[in-house]
Amino acid sequence: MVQVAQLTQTQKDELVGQLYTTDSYFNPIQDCNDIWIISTEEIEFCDNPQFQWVKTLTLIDYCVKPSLFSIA
Amino acid sequence: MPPNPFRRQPNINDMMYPKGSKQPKQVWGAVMNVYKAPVTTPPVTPSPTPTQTQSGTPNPTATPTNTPTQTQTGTPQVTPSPTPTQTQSGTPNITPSPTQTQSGTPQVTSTPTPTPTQAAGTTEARTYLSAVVAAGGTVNSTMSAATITMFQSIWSNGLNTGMLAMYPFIGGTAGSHKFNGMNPVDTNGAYRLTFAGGWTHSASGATPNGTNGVAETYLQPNATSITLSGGSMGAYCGTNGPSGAVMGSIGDSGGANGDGWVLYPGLNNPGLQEACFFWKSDAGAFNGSTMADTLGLMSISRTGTTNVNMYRRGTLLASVSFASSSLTNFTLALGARNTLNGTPLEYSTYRHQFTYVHKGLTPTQMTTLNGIIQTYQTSLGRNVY
Repeated sequence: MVQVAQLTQTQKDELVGQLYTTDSYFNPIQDCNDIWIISTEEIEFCDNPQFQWVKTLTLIDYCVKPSLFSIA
Repeated sequence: MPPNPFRRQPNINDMMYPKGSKQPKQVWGAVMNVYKAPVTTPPVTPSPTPTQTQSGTPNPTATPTNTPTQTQTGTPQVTPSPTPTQTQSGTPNITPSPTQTQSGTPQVTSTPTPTPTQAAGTTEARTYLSAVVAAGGTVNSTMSAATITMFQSIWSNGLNTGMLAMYPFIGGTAGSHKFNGMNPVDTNGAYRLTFAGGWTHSASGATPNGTNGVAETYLQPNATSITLSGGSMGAYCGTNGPSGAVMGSIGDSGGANGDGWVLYPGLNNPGLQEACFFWKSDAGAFNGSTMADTLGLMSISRTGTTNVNMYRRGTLLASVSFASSSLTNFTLALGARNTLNGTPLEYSTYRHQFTYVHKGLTPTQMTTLNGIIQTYQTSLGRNVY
């Protein structure tokens, strides 16, 4: 099972549009339970001093949010 | 004794040749020779003749005299030739004047400038490589040579015509992977990639995590030269998906899925080869044949108003009939597809090792491109078949 890091709404707002490393932006998305999450890669490669707190986030199992616009 | 008022005034002969001196027969001829002498001395006459420019006179009027005798026509690179001290010393403005060919310095006309001998695409390759290195990418001589060869092959086969974007993914970092080889400038308008979410960058390429990894190309089909009857896109996939979109976008001009194009290989499930490329408000399945893997160059292409083709390694995998009606207004994403509400969907894990967008490749061109890219990946030591 893929693991992801859970965010609060405030944390999500803080990360949107911010770099976690050179030329790479955070991309918070919602899972099947509408919980905001980021990936473990964003945490692992985060070298932005402003956001080192992401390394302390709680990990949860990821479930894909269904979409009306999915092809398959 | 008073002076004789009737004495003959001395003439010029008397003054030039006193009594007892030897007098030439043509006194005035000698005088005229005196005045003729300066005429033959180049520095005196400030005329804008080629001779003047050799005197070192920085006369700007002589500078633009690009007469047909110049041998540097079309090769302005001659100016910084390795023989700068020959005739241009102290007069840099005269550099392009005819004095170069008249100076007797054969080095000027025979200086081998790089431009005429470089194969087409070389300059573009070097520009791209410079951008990669400047962005912190690691490029060794093998990678450099392979990249130059790849660019040259694309140019020599005419595939550069209509190529809107191509991403070679070398250098091993997000900063080096972001550049569009057709215009390696760090701007959205140059279709430079912006990575978001989880990606792993390495010498092998760029791998999205299948959860939230996406790269924005800023390439909006209805704002490009792509047409309803022409468009191709594809990626050399270094890993099997096994699901999700390699790349794509679907707009909002109508229908449940909007109009768009998506490369969705559907490994081992032909029913999921809904790699749509329809430019209309409908999705359609290729329902092509089952394939062993999605490794190598996977592409979709439309070169007419009717059929859309899906290719694997340059070979036609499936074809489906879709009429086209409108181009999507959503920008193309890699690692997923941009969709109706502006949110990427269908995240995937296909590793991108070379990704492109073209105005429309024919079956023959698709085969040619596949060969070029497979050779490129092999030269880089990262071919996957």
